[in-house]
Amino acid sequence: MSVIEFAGVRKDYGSRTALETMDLVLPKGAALGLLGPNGAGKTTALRLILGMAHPSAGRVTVQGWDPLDPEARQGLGYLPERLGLPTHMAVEGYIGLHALLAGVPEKSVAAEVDRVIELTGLTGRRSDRIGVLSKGLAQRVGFAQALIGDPKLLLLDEPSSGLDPIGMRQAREWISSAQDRGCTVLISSHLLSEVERLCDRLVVLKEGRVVAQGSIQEVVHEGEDLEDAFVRLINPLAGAGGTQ
Amino acid sequence: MRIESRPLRWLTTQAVRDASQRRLVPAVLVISVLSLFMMDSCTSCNANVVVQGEPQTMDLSSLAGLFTFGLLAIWSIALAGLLASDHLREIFEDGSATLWLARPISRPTLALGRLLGSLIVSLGAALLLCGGASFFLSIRGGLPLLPAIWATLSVLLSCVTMAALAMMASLFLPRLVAVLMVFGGVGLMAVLNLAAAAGRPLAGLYYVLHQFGPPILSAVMAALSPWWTTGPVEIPLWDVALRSISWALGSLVLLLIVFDQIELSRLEAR
Repeated sequence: MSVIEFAGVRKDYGSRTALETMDLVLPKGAALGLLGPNGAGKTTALRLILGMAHPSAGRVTVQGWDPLDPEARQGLGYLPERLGLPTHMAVEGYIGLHALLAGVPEKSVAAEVDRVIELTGLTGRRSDRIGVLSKGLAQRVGFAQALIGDPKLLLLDEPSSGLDPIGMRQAREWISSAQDRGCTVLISSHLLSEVERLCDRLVVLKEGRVVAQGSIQEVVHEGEDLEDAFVRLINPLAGAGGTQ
Repeated sequence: MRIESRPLRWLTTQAVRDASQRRLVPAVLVISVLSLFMMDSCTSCNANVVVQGEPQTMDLSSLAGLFTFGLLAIWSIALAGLLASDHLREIFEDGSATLWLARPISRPTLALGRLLGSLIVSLGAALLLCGGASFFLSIRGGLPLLPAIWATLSVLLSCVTMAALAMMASLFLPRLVAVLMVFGGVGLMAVLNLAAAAGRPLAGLYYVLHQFGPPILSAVMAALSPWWTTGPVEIPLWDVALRSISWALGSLVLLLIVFDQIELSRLEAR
């Protein structure tokens, strides 16, 4: 069963095409890396999955539902690139509210909040206001809310943003651990090494077009690494120059 | 259109907390308390006039009552629109709406939660002001209380109308334009209602707005009509009551439908 499906999806903003005829099937338990330079259409694809943007053509389904239907977002954890957190709220209050909205039973909320706070290393800061946290700690709060309720589908947009090397390693562990529990993961990232370590398939976007799609072995040619493949796909001239 | 009751409760609580963090709210509280003091002093005034050499005391309570209630009604309704004009929009600008809407809740639940959050603050202020005015006018001026209760209810309905319309306008317009529309709309309707009540003929668009628009001041004047014996044109009570209810319900439903259908990504800060 596919968790996310794009069938001939196009997205226009006025006269500008942000995404051009995208077909994608993401099966349950898969880990997809969404790659592309800035403005390639990665965030648009995530917005379509979340129902924040409507396709101009084609159809998106999430867990078998139209993205506008709340059922599509059952068991979904989302970490946006631009993390909007209410600065006046305390860490545990904020995560607790997300636990309730995610459908965690009220009697289990406290235990679930404790679990993700401990997992993301926020135990000593649980009573702090979010506004006083550093960018890295705020990103951990973002991870905590995304991981609440043991999600079945994780959408992560630049998940390492603001994290130090230790935090980045921990974040990979949290994502791997979720994958081990059968969670389907979609990561949009500029960090190719991160995508290479966590994902088993790739979609490479350029100016709204899918320029490569498949398993890492299918996208990366023999004798090149993911960075070489990315440069070849995004900027063929630079890629050719680099290999000459 | 689906509204989930439990998430609505949590989101409304959050929206009230967010509203209480705004710098505008303490200012509203101070103005409300000052207004109560003003009412306290205004409702205790009398005029001593001399008619043909005979000193007489004129009872100004009816006039003061109408004037006070009218001003407080306009202020309360404008305040409801002002508070609602960015209470939904701001969570898109700071990015938190994207995270709320990534949860299995419907869009109308979020919109209604935000509207209720701002309304709890603005209706609280309206109740304090209109309730305070009713109390002073009834105790000091000996005016009957029931008309003031009806007038307060009509103010609350107009608050709902204006808040829902302002929140909807904020989805399409910049904040400043939405705020100007709130003040302009409330002011225009108040002037038209007042002009019609004074017997001034209205034509064209002004007539249509007065006859079919939200009866912001007409409803208050109709409810308070037992307070006056002469003067303004009689206002049909059931007509304005029905229109007040229709506008409140209609604007609320319209907000939820519009928010359910529009593309939200354009509201997010880039």
